[in-house]
Amino acid sequence: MGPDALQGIPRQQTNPKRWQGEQWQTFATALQQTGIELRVTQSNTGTYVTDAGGLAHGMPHGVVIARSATQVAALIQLAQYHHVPVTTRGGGLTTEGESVAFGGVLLDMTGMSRVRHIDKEALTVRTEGGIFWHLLAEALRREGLDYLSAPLNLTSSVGGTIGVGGIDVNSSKLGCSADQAISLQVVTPIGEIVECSDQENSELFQRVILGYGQFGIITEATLRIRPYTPLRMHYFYYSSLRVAVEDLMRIDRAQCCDYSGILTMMDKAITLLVAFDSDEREDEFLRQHRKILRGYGELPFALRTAAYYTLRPWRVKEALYLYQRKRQLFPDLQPTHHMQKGQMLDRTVVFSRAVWKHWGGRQMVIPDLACSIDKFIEAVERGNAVCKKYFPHYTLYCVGIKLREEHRPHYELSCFPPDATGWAYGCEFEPMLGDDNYSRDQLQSFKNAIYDIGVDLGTSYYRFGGMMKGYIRRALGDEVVNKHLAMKRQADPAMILNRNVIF
Amino acid sequence: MWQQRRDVQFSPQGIAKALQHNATHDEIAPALFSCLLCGACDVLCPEEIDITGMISALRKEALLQSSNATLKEAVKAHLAQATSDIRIEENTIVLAGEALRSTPATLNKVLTLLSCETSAALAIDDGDDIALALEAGIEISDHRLHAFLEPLQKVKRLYVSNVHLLKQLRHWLPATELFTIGHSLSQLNTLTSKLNKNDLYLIEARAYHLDHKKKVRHYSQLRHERGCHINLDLQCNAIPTAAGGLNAFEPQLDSAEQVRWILSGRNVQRIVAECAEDRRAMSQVSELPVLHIADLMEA
Ligand code: SF4
Repeated sequence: MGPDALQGIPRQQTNPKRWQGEQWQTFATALQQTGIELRVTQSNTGTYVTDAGGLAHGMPHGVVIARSATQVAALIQLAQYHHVPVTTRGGGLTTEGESVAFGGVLLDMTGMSRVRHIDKEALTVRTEGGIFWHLLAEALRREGLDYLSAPLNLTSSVGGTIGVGGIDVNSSKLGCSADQAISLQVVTPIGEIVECSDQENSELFQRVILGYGQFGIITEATLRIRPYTPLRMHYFYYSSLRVAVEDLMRIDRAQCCDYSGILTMMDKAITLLVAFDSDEREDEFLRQHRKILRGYGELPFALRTAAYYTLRPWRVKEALYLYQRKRQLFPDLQPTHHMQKGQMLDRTVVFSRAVWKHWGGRQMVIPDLACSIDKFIEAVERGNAVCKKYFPHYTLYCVGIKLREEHRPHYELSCFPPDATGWAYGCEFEPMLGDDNYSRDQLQSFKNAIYDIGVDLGTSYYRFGGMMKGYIRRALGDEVVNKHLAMKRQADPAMILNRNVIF
Repeated sequence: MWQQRRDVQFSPQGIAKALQHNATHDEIAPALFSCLLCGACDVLCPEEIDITGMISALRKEALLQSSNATLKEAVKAHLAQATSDIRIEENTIVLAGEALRSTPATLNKVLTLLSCETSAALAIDDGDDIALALEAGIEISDHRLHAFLEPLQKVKRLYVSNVHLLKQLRHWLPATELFTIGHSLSQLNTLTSKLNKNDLYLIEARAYHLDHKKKVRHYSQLRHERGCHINLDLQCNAIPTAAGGLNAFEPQLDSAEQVRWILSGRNVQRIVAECAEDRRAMSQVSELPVLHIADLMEA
């Protein structure tokens, strides 16, 4: 292909150039002398060849399994000295290659995944950063406790999530997962072990929270927790995306439920999920707020949909798809062994498994947009149009994220757009790839088309790795990016830590 | 494996990825032989991959290519030379396994409890060695297999303690009704009615995951009705004790650590195990009274 073959075709390069490894041997020898195990065989490095997105592929020169803050600090000091890039990885759930190492060291944080201490009085937990949320939930549940909000995904790690945001169906009430962190133990890019919080080393805390792993490695975290309660679930059904989104925002503002979110089957069957932690909250909602919702119950919606398609026989294929999908999906949203007296025992397990089974696949193609309230409906509708253009079947997942005013400094250069106040809203756009074959270019073009809406509307991007290098300046502007880049250069002189993710 | 190693290499995903990147059998052998074949990952896999089947097949290949030669020799030496050709005439036979046989009082209760329709008799050769070889992926000679299976040809109903053996017996004796001992006892209301909220009930993990769909309902109901604790995680998978089988023969995982994790944060006063090996592992770590489910007969 000639060098000018792609002229006029906008492309976003997402895979950085591989680090050539000039200082690798000296570094590797020095590291091994410290007693840190460095795995260099292809069978080891190949394990981390891609992330959940499956579009970016790269190999580290070597892998280190994180075991302690001291070990991580020693590794980072040497890496900084020898200018060797270090890529950190938890569950590897990024979608744009942010947790893929294009050379250098891949630091697998899941080796640090123990719960250190649960304080039942203060309602806090101290845990290592590489733990998966569901393993944290296991430990907490034994004590009748639960985390506040965590991604509905069984293999997200605590540290990774704090670095990018993390949303749950209760984020409209409790905020993003990163907001649950009270304090962190961080290994800085020069290999110091520092405890930080809003009171202690607050600048570092502000940069590490939602900081895309640029300013430190989270080795331990103290999180707020709460007593465990099962969920009282309600589903309302819509045929209009706009009406459903308006209702979602309405109930969030009224703060009349404990969990809320939207899941769709294309833009034909839209489900608004509403849930409660207590019978009192549920009763109050049903008495006072149910009537403001314009969604239908399951049976009336099924009858309306049947009538709609009876009058449009040429859309029979679409009707059949919706019917089959509902039949497959709905039992998995209420599996009997995860329900008790009509209440859902563990939302993360139920939703994560349903998502894996019915939305998942070998690749996670889930571009997203994070907006202020004012821009959300437009962002969802435009994103929906892009989905329609690229794929016959897709789903949207929308949630509100309560912002904490006192955390504004954490949000700078994060998944939360600067113009968001009160709540930010996120929408994920996920095609149903099934067994169809799509090329990497097709999938990447789709993602870029969604991200371009963000640039156009002035939104941000959240969740699976959040903001990407190719978009950060276009979305948030040079001034704020330059400010953070200067801070990064100061904190990480050799720019070794999670290179190419946003800078 | 994950709970103890916290190393992706010791996970089905790690094994699969390593193989995709040309790992040799020797490189993946530590992970292959650390797996308890408990089957929890089979149940979890969203793509419904037979992960334990894959690991078992890889173990066989690894041994053929002489990885872990000492293990191979040790298990081979363990294979019995028994050559009893006497046909068993009873309808119901129990293959109790060493751990249950080592507690004769409990074993007698098991035999009584399983003798509801016809009296249950104990097999002399209960195939412990064959179960171990199956788990390790080691070939069993035709001679040994014949000696084990021939007496069982006319048996109508077999109660088996070892799940690896049970799985294989489904192929070897297709006409025979096959049950696991622990799960069968867990269906007797006379026993389970004695469980209460101060009990920790230990499901035998391998048996549970083998027929997960059916059993998850049974045990969820048991927990709901009796209010007892059960060694289930939030995903409704059973946490194994890592006791018995290959891990007891050549330990890769620490059974005591597994037991401590099962007990962690649970406020219980008594432990009831449906598998004799789990009972043994529990009583080695816990100060609490530990019973076999059959012991509830007299509790
Ligand atoms: S069978 Fe059990 S021990 Fe083996 S990989 Fe699966 S879950 Fe782990």
